[in-house]
Amino acid sequence: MRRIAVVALAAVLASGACSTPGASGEVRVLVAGDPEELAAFRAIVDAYRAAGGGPVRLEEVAERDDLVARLSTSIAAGDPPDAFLLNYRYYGQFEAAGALQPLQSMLDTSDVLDAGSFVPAAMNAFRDDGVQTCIPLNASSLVLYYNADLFAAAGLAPPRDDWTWDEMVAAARALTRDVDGDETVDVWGLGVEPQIIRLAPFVWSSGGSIMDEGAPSRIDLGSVRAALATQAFLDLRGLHEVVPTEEDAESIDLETRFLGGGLAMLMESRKVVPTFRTIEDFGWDVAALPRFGRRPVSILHSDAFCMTARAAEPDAAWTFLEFALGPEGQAIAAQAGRTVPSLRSVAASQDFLTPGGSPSNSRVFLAQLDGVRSVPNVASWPQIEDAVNALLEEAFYDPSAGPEAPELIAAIQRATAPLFAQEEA
Amino acid sequence: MRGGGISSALGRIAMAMLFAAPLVLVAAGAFQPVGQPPPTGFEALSPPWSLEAFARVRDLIPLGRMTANSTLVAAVSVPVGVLVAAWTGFAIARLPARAGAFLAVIVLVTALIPVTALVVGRVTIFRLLGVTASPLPLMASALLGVSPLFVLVFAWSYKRLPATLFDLAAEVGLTPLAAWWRIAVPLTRGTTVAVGMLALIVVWGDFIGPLLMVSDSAWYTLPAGLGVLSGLDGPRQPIMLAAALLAMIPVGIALLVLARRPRGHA
Repeated sequence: MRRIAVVALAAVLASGACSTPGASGEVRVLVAGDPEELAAFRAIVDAYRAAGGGPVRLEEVAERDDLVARLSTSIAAGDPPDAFLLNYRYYGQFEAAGALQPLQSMLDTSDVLDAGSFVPAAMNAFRDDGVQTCIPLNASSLVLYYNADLFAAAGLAPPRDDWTWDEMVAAARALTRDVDGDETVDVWGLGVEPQIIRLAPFVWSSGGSIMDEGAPSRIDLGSVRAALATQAFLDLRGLHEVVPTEEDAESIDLETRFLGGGLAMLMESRKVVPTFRTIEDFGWDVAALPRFGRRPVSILHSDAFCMTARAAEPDAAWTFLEFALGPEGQAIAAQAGRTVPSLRSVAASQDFLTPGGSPSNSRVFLAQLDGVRSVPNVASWPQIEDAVNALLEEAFYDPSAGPEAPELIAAIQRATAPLFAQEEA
Repeated sequence: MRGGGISSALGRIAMAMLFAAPLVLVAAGAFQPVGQPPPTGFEALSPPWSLEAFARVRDLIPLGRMTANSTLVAAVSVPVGVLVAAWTGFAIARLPARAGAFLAVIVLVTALIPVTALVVGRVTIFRLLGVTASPLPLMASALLGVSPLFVLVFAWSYKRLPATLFDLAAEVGLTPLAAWWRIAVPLTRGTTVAVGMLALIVVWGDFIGPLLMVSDSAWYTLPAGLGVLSGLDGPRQPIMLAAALLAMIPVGIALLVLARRPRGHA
């Protein structure tokens, strides 16, 4: 699927301009998500129509890769949707291709939306040279989910807001257990995927950086602080053995393992909350990420509505986006439980915090947004992320054959250099 | 039964089990209770069984509409595609040797072109025709015989028939179309059935079409629905497996019916 997207995106770049299909008055909006997310989008459209809005046709796909492939193809073929919803790590490629209509001027004159009402970090992630390209619908971050019953059974206090990395590792070691004595681990202390977006918060917390400042031109994990954080991340599997082995992670994914009580802590974004709300066998909650350095830092997870440059119905599309991104639309999305609203007023409302519901510490998602950081807006970021993740995974799961942090970082820099060169070209 | 017969039968059973194993696992998973951690071993093949997953499929995707769409697309695409492939193959087989070989090479080359290279062009054509909000893009491959390989299969099959049959048919005044219908089709019925089955499998399982070429979700077919369900978390995977099992039923019945058709020589 990614190959189709690449070919189609190349066609977007090659074609330069695409013809605009005839206007029909119907707004086409491309979205991706699981069945519950898609249901929430349909509910937003229904509410919009009930409020007197015009016709909106949702184009639904299941996965982000499917969305990117469909979007690339439709743009290249001159038949793009008017608007689409995409994560900030993936929208840069469309911006670089000139396929997006910046929303800054519409936002400036809007009577419905006020830029100051949104989470600043999320707005910044979709801003280029001071111009707001897309507007975020949600603003989640990486947090720590924990099984409260396992903590209590081990005599451990729940994670505090000012937890340190070392305290987390110590807890994970205490919680990793062979329950039935068959010499295989039944409960793992921690679940974290070996990905750059999982490692980055701890590099930032250490005072290091993942890319050079300004216009990013290379992966910059080379500082001592970044190398220490990277080595500590690798040690979770190689030295401490508190995260599932590769075989265990492949046989049961981390989310499912947590659901079954086989994982004490899990680093994830807000997206798992609807699934975790089905848990009946044990108590669970969320905590802030531990700090590796002096202060905790998390990483932004945010999707935004963007408008295509060749939208057939830009005015009608903007009217719909005002509704979807406004208090009513965001409240509907928040009720699905999977996202953190990007409008601060909705994020502080009961629609999101759900008093009495799980997780009881939902405010941690809001508290973390103050220090949240994001990966840079680089058009080739998806390819960079793939290249880094492949090397990181190898080093994480195979410590005997995989490199230590300095060698890993050098390998990452070599593997990503051509992608940055391509970016500059 | 002789030793050779026994070993042959055992070999067939082993081969059947090899191909049936994935289906058994899908079925076993579909009847697992929803909401439980997914099994990691043979417990997937043991009780408790549940029909809950089947009941919940329709809560998540419009299964009836998608099945109707898939059926409509297959009902049009398979017969039209087989007809086009057969006619094209017959034309290649009846041309002089060099011209036929040249066309066969052209068809072979088109079969080697990656689908990724054609998607944008196809969507552009559908947009210009104004049919992206209809099921027509899903049926369009039928006008090309569904797959270039099917054209080649027919060409090779017709090529094996004695040329004198068609020379005699021409002498008695049969048109090429009549000769194809009265001589080639009866003698290659097995090929036609096999291509029909393969075409049905290709059309029924087409995921790229609804994903990239149809702009109106109302025309999504079953593979698009299964794509949505594939994003479900582990404890709800029985729902996806139940949907996959239901999606197999119509095409399974159709394949069984086709497989019972009398076979021709080729």
